[in-house]
Amino acid sequence: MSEAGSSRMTTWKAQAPAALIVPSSLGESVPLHMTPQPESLLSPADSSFLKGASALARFGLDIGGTLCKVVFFEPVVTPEVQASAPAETPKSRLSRTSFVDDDVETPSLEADDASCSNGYHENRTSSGATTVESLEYEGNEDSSMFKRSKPTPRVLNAKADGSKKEHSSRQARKMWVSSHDPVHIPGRGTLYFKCFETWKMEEFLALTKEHSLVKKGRALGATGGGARKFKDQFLQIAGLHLERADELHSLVRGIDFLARHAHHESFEFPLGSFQGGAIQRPLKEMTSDEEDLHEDRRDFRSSNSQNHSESNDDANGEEAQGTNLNGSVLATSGNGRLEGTEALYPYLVVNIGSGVSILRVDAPESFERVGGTSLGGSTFLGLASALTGCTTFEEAINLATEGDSTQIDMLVGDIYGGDYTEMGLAATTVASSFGKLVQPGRREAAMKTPQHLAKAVLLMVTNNIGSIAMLHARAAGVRQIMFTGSFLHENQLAMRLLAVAMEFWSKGNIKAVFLRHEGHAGAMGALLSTLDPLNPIDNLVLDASCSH
Amino acid sequence: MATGTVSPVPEGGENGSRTPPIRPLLDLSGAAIQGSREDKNPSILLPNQSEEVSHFAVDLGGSLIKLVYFSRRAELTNSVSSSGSRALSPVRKLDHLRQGGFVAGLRRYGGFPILGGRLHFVKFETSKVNDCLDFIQSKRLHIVDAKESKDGVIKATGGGAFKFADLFKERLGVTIDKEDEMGCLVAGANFLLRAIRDEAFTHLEGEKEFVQIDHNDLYPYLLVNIGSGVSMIKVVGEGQYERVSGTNVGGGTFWGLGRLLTKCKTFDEILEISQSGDNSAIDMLVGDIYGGLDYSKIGLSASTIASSFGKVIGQDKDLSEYRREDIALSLLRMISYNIGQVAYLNALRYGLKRIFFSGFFIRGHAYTMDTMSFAIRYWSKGEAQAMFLRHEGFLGALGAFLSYDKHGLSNLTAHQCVERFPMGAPYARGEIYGPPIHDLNGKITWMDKFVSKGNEITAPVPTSYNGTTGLGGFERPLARSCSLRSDASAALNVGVLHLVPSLEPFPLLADKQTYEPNTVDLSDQSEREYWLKILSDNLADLVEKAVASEGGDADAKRRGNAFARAFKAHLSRLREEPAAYGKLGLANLLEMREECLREFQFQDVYLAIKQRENEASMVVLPDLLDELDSIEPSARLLPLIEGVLAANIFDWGSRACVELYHSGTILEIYRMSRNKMKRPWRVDDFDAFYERMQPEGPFKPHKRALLFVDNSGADIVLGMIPLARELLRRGTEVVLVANSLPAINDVTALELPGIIAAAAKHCEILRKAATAGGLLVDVLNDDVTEKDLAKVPFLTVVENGCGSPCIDFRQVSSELASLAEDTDLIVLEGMGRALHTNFNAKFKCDVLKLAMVKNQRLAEQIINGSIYDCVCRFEPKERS
Repeated sequence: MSEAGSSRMTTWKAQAPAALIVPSSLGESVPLHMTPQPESLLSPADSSFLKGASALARFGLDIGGTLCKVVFFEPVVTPEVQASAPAETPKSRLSRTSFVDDDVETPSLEADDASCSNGYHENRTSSGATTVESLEYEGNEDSSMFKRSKPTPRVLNAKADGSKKEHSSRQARKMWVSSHDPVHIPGRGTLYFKCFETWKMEEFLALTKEHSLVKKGRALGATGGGARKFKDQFLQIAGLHLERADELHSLVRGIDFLARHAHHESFEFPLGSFQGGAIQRPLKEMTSDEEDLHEDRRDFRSSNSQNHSESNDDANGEEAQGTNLNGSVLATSGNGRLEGTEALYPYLVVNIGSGVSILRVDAPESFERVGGTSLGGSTFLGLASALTGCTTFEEAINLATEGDSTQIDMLVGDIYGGDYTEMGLAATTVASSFGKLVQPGRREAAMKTPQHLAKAVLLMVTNNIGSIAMLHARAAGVRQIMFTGSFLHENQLAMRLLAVAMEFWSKGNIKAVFLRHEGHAGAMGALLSTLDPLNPIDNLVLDASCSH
Repeated sequence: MATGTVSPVPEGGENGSRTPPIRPLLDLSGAAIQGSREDKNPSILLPNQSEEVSHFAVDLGGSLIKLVYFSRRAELTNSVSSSGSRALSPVRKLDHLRQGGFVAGLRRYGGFPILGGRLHFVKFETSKVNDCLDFIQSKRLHIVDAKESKDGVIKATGGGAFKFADLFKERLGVTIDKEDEMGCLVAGANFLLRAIRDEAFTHLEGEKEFVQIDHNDLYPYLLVNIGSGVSMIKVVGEGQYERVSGTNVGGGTFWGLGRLLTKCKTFDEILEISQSGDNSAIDMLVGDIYGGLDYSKIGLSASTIASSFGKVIGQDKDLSEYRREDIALSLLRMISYNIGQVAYLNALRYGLKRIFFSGFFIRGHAYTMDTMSFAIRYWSKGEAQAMFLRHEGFLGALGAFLSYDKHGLSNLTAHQCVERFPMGAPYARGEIYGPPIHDLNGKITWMDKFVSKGNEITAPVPTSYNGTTGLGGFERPLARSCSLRSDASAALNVGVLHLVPSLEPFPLLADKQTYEPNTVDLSDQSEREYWLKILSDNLADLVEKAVASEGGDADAKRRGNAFARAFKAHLSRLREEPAAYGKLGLANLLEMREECLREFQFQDVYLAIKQRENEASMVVLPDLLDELDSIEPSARLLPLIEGVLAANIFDWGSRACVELYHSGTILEIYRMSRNKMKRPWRVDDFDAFYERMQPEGPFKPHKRALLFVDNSGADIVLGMIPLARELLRRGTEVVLVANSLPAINDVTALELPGIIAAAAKHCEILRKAATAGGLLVDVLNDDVTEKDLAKVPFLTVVENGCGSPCIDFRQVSSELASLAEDTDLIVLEGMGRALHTNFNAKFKCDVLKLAMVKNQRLAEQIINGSIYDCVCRFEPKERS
């Protein structure tokens, strides 16, 4: 057991140092590219599918109603590990060529870890926030490969403006809908985070079968409703056995793991960053703000990794992070506020997937589902696509970002001619989502502005989740709410809104916290649940985990 | 008192100015009591108030304008009934009350600062604000008959109060005074929950149930007002509240988003089409995610909605490819459930058990209410209760109305309010169809044109119930009794609220909280059907009599037809939605018929019949009295009670009896009935009563007996008057309690003095007692001296405050209530008062319930007997 394993997590601080502590018994690690390459099985396109996964990879799936999240762990295979796991030939069926460009090859512990982070972030910085990353480009290749791609996206409204068409036309078939930074656990391996739309399950299974990704007989950890629904299909089509893990348990476990092991996994918006008063107010002034935020985030990441590389032998790295926090908009929660006597537990998890589940976590393995709402991510996407004709989440978010819902929503100011000060409601508070469309003649105008509609839907769903989360937080007496789920992916608007809402309504007493791998906690938990402590490869992850 | 400025009317003085506003305004169409009083002392009715009371208040909402207005029934002053001469002069009645020493009763009269009158509730679409202004103008609501010539100031609330201020000024010349919205909502809710008995109801799985709110136990509660947005208000007391939360997903969202998605033209259209929707095509259900299985571990069934609108993604379908009905239902469910859930969370946070929902989003729509109730019940595990309000959308407007100073309405309680459902806006749930109704002619025209339309609106052609999935995902909402009907018809009506300050609960009720007048539960469908059918079968006969009673001319015929149509409309409304007018009991049904007759100005349908029967019976009375006097005093009681039971056979309200009338004279029937009187009766407590009445027994004679009389004719003359005479003989003061307004052939308080005067001619005992009681002032004989009268027990008459063949002891005239104090015997006579209602009622004194059962079904039900069985139920005062 590592040191971290015995200590109770008291903050959301990513406990990177824990992961850095590698048992000396592991000895020298073997670079991954040393594994034999099975050329015969490969077609050029194959390299794009689950890049980074060898036959030693451990998988966790979270098959939700809309998205299927995949997490896999690619171990750093040392001879010792290899020796003690003879059954699993470290024989990748995938092309290793791509790994040359990838930064996963981590032959030595510290330096490589740092360099790989750097490499990644540089890449990301240069591509910019809105640039489609390499993984997605790979996805496009998929579309040429697989004829089962979706037809050309429909354009719901003929009068749709150019930008919308652009959105639609950009949408092409690809397996993966989004990408996340991999997480390197020095000396142990790398966690990769992927996801695809659940309706593409057959396609996924076909690919999986083709690649024989997972050794026959080895179970895949799976959770989410689909773990049951698709169980037979996994067996029949891909010959894979799904080992089901409880959804909520996986979620909690995954959050716990990610928050500990991924650097700066959790973050929050510092107190007092929005002094706008009512929830919606800052949003209107946000565009430039948001730019800054992206900047900051990138800066923060790169500088942090830089920082980290410099101080990686620091036993706990706390100071380094602390300095980073100062003055930055995004902060990991290594915040002094949470340290010392103030306990982390209980906290609330608000997982916004297709729908929303709300859990109260009392201790690492102790939690209760206290609520939920059916107004979730798919409600946003469903309504947005019904109203605007957009087809992807990304598109919907982009539309919403451009939108201004004041022509759609009825604001407090519209009703009262200003702030309703007696009740503490600012004029900009949404009194009734879509409430302005009640007036005659508004419908037609509204249909011409899909971006405004998308924004209104986003505000409706997010505000509602925020108010329900706040009420649950009060009922449960928690001071932190961890918002997770794929709805928050690249969704600055929603995260901002939630952060401000929590701060405003609780007068700063309840804090919204987010997860960088927002949607993958469940899959992570599922991965963990299949691991066998006696298997040395499994143990690479388990040992790092504090859960046992 | 709320106003504090109104000084009580001074008592004493011999001139008429002493006469207080005994009954400011019960709905006494054409009744002389009222007319003469109004004429005499119009200013006393509203001391120093009439100028200050404004006539309406508005809630100018985003989509609807709600108008609450007040009327003082101006037509009454013009239509002083020609029957006024029959009236017991109020002055004289007061005199006899004074003589009886009922000063306490008098004091009560002086203390009412409350304006008697009626509150009307109507609504308009905000986009048709001019209709509303036209209505106000046409009803002259804005005309303030103020001597002070300052501009009228109108209380208003809602977002439009600012927006429409200029328009109101321009069109009506009134200035809008904006009242705080939340304050109005709370004031309105508090008033409704206190003043209207069947205001709040629960709605679970298609079943409505009215909830009696004990006003002392009302607070705290959560008020959830669903307008365009949703406000949640914690109410902890009168005027003490706090807006604790809200949500932006409300009625405006439903309507705005619904328009976009379904292209419906009206809010109601979306509701309507949602009836045939199936949300599983739109929503992602737990079963969709879990492959048709429940996620039982956390209690989620397969039909739980995991994600609203979640199925709209990942399917290459254009919006138009989805069924509008499905979208509408999904949207309705999403919003309703969400509101319920957020409301629950707030209730949880503040520890509130009661949640009242209001606002016109609900519209009495069963699915909406079921969904909200379900959400609350599910999340609170049954701890919290969702309740809805009949006047759901009128809270704000009512609150604004109440904010006028000096109206005195805030202190009204349930027993002082009578809700009626005449044709017009109240029948159409507050919506105005056609021009405002000003008079009877207008009403008849409205009937012709709009009742069919109103029926259509409130009762659309039944649509088939196609198995809508899920409610909050768990159970499908149940259509009531699986009948095929649209939910739109389930909406509840909003009546005209008659404010009758002189009504009070009867003090001798053993338990006012649990008292339920109706014996038979009409929530049972077959029971309801039976009585609705009886009323509808008897209708033709009634119309015929009604028309004849008014001279049978063309006008009477026209009114008769209008009455028939109106009453049929009510009946069909009740068939569809038994709770449309509040909790339905037989008493309410029978009263509604009488009210409906009065609405079309049939003053007293049975007047001629009653007079004829009274005269015929009066002929027999001397012989009967002689016969009785020849019997030993101790043996007289049985024939007297037999006589009451036998005479109770005359009842024009009973179909079986009406048939008897065709085959014989009333005396023949009476004799036949008398001969059949053989004990034991089906319910026979006579021996116990006899014991109680034994002069040699341990009990003193009763001090005062209240005799609730039933029918005219033999019933009163040959049954009750002899019984009253016997009681008087034993030294018991007797008060004959009769209806204020006519109902079938029941004797009224106006007719009784005449009958007693006639009877007194044959009987010294009656004459003295009636004279002592002040009933025979005009025929005071010289040979009866004041001195004699001092020893004689009084015989008096008092009206009960009702216009129904039944009696609801929660609302009786204050005169009757004031007589309760010394009363130690109550005699309830007749089916209406002793069987249909009050059969199970308990009182704080001895009570004797006498009736002959003239309905086979009722006989089977309540006494396990058959038609013409008799009930003599004696319930002595429980002695501690």
